[in-house]
Amino acid sequence: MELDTKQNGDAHVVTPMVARIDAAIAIQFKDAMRAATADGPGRIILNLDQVTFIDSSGLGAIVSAMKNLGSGCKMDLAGLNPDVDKVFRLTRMDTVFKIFPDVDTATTRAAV
Amino acid sequence: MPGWNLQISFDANDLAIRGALQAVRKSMQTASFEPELMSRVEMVLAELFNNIAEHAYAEAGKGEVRASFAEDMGCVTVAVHDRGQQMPGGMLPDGRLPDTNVPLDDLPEGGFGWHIIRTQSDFLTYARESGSNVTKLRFDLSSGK
Repeated sequence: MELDTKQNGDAHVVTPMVARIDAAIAIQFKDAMRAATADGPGRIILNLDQVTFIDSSGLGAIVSAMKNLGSGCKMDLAGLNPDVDKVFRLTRMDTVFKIFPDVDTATTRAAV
Repeated sequence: MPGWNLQISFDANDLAIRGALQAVRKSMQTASFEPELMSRVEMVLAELFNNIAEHAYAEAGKGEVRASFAEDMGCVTVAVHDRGQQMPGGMLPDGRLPDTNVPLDDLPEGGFGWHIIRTQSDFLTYARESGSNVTKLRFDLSSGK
């Protein structure tokens, strides 16, 4: 699967170029995230603005990606559409990740 | 929308499940259901179908899922049939969320599915009928979930 990556200030912005992060793509997503974030340590912003649907397998893959980063690296989320945001809230994963409305907001609040 | 109904059947694998969910959404879109309701139906059925593939058909490695949908008196009802293994204890899981207030390495990567199914549907039953699992769900059109 395709991950778009770019450096934005001190943050590494990773954007999955897929509409769905579901059970069919969860393993590929984890592998692609591992490759895209191998350069750590640092701050990753996972930009989900292309994603319109996520299931619990996809959610688990995002949690797994964060765990793989280890403690020297931090992963924040940005650009969640309402349905994706709902899955994070329902599972209380909104208490685990910092969630920003979009990448620009996430970047300007990097120092917080 | 009144009188809307749909029958689908598909193999219990990841890609076929994705296709089934997209087919359901497309049919509901054509019938002009509220986006909020379509999202809830998709969210819940994704978890239920994944669960059938990963657990009920885990041993067989494959199997068919049939689902029938109907709109009735302001509700969408769904009946899902599979011929996989029975639910452990003959009951649906309680859907308790895993603890997220834990160190990074212990964060849960699964165990969310039944919580999503239970909180986002308005009524849910399960029965074992002549070798099949029958899960019935209802979604109310304006439940505010």
